[in-house]
Amino acid sequence: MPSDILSFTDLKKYFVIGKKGLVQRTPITVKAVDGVSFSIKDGETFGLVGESGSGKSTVAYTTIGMYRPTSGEIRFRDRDLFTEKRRPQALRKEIQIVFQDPGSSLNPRRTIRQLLELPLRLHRPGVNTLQETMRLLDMVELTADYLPRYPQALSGGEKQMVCIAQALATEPNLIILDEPTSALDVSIQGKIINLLIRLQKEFNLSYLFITHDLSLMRNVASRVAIMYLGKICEVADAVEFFRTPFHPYTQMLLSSIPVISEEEEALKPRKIVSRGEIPSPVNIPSGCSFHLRCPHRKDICSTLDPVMVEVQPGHLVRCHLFGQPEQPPADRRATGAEAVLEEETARG
Amino acid sequence: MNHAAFAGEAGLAPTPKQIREMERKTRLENLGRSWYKFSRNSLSLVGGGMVLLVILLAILAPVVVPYPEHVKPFTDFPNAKLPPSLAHPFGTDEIGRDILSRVIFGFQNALLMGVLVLALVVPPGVLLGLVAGYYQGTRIDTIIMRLTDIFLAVPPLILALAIASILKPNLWNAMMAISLMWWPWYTRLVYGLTSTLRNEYFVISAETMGASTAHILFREILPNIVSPIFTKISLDVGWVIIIGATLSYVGLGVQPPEPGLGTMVSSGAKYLPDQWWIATFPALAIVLIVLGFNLLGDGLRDMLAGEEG
Amino acid sequence: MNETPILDIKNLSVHFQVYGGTLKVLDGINMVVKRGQKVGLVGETGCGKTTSMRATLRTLPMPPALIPGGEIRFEGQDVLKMNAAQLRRVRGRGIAMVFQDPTAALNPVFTVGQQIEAVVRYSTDGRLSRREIRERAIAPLKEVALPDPERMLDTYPVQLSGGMRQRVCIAMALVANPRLLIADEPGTSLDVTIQDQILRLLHNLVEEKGLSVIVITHTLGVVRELTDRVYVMYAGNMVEVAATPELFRQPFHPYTRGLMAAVPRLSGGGVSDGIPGRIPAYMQPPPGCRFHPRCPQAMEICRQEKPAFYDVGSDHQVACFLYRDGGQPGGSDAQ
Repeated sequence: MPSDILSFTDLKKYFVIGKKGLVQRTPITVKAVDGVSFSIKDGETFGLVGESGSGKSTVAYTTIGMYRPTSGEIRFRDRDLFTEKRRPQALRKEIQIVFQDPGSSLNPRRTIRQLLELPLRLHRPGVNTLQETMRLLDMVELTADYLPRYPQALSGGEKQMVCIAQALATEPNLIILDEPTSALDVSIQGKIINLLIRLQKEFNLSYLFITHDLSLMRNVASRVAIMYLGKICEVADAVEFFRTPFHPYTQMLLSSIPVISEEEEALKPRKIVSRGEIPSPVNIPSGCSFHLRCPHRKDICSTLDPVMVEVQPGHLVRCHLFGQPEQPPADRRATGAEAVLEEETARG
Repeated sequence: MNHAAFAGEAGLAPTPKQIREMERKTRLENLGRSWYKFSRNSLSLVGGGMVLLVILLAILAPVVVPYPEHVKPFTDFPNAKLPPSLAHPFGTDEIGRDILSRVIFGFQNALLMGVLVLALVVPPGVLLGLVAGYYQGTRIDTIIMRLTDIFLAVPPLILALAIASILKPNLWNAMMAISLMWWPWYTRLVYGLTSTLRNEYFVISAETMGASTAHILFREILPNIVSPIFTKISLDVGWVIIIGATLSYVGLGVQPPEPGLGTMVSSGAKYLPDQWWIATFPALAIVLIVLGFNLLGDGLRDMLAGEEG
Repeated sequence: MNETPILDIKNLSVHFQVYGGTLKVLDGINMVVKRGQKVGLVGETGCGKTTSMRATLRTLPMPPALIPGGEIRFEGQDVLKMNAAQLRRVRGRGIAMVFQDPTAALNPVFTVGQQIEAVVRYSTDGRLSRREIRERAIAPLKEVALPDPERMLDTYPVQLSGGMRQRVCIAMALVANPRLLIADEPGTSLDVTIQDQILRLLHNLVEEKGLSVIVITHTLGVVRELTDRVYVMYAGNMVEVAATPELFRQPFHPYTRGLMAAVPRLSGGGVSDGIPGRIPAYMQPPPGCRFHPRCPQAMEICRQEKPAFYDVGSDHQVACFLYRDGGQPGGSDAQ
């Protein structure tokens, strides 16, 4: 039974971006991630999908250590990632990230050799760097004559492959891929995706794969979660997620994807015309944050936030249309994260 | 292992030497491209030429100067105030010294001041800017930048005059005074550049890898901001020299009989307009240096402008 | 009906002079847009699609760009030969362009109203009163279905969402009632649900105003949803042109087929490896057909000569030697 390599328990990350009002000074809070729980099994590719403001990138950046959670936990192999002030190197090497813009992910003033040597120096001192950098390039199917080159001489796809090689240099167990092919043309996308799949098998890696491209997600992930304004709306195995989406937002998203063949059109849910704009995370609607755009909204949706329920084995949805518990929890105010935030702003 | 045909030897792994060779070739090629961009602007070539001339003259002064003893204590009253001639292309001054020789040695003093002041000012200014920019938003940022603001708030010339008049007036103390008011500009410049770059993915990538702060400041951020810094240095040489000449002009810098361009202008001013050459040639020399460095700096800025992205 | 096409690009070449030589980017392209048509221009990064549209509006910096040959006829007149006064009448009033990134296209320190009114003033040569300018600024905001156009005039771009900014950009393009709208990657930087809205907006504008539209994109799905006719571009050459349903039903050119195969399918089945290699260096483009180094079906002649356009159906042409004598998609030994 494969264990969980990464688990999120009610993760919340709020940002205070300013203060409103001359006298009152109420803090303006962005609830980028507002209670996210899921886990990634060893060796699987977990997909995280969502539009802008959904919080998927914040989840990634918090996992990698760029932010500290406002509340909640992230555990790697059951080890809390945030017990120490500065994450120990031993943990850092386990979780690596590939960013979405290869153009700015590589220092333009360093050669490929120097770029690959950095993680080796930091996490595997004593290894023969020349040999190892060549081996890393080989893993991503680039030749050794790339070593003396500068990133500007490489195409977008090649740059991204170097980024992947950099991530592999520390011999990690989990790699977060934040929109790894969004900045690239579709004709090179496949090569990189298939490379990632091969590397996963060869080194038994686990992936947290983030993208907004649902067609790509369908072919890459084994389980998919969809986020909206900081919360997860639905989680399911990939095949089921696409075949029988339950959440209205999932359906709306799936029905809007531009596809290129009739057979794919037939697979899309019935067209839900998306009306209105995506609310900003500063101004999250009350109750269920999706209710303003939802074609199935009921009265309760604007007042009460639904909880996640398991509608079918392995398929969870957070929506008032699906089996909500009888009694809402007594006090929904000032839960953990809000309390932390109130304290922080009181301190100024 | 699959390695492409590397340096002509198919199938063999490239040696470190070969890799370094290729890196050198790439750097040379980049230099060539930069030169191409620089040389397209004829004014910057003119500026570069002027600067080169000044530097050469300054270095070769003892060899090139026609009357080397005229820069030491020397008088020759019978030959004083002679107009420009073949023997004295710039004429002679009120004591009889050859002005051309003194101007060339004046270049030496001017460049010395420019180089030394900037050597004193740039490292700490840049370092403070890096640290403040990297820790932007925190206390360190506030402390450093407020300190910078304080120094910037004092009118520079007043500061320089105050310092120079407290200390003994000479070249070195003038340099100290100028240095003290010059460093904040570098901190400001580097602060802006650093805080922009600080959130780029490659910096975050180095951070999440666990690189030390020193590495990030000096190996990740600094190499990407050297271009604007060099441009500023080039433009600044001219300005430091003018300020130095101004201080000398009011008697607080280079003291006679040392050949300082500002001092020469000041002592020659009272002989205008009849013996115009005594003040005019040193003044033109100042113009040459400052204009040259300005054109060069502009050219550098244009050349480097196209390089990002 | 044989009326003059609204845009007729004939044999256009565009080169760039840079350090080390000349980049021969556009290599004699042809493109025809008829009145009321929605034409897609599909190609990947660096294929020259934006360059060709900028050449049409004559916004290429000239040096380093130079145009060794070709014509760009807008409503019959060659844009490349126009003087400044004639160009001013074309830009914005005849042809308008909506750029890729709405955030970068809007000036953050001016309100939406100030920016639209500026466009109104330029396009009417300052002949109108302030009240008239304001009216003409509100009208296009209504056409792009922006909520509360009056209040929109006083908002700053930073207060708007990405989708609204894109609509503002489209409104600005519509101010002078252009006959041709060029949309560069509409909605690409936006979420898919918002992009969907923008595409439908463009569709409605064509229906209601009889606009002609050129959509530049690298996303095949967008082309399929929005356009009537598609040009596929590779490395500065047009390689295939067809009516949209026809192209998607049966692509012929190996590049088009490679592109379509590379798009991940909603039905699953894994992702294809895409097209190997990279786009050619424009300094020394490959001889003959520029795609031949990456083409799985390259023949000897492809290395030597550039193919012409061959008919492979009604309103379907391919620039590929495989179809010199008409024939089956994929060439004679296709499945």
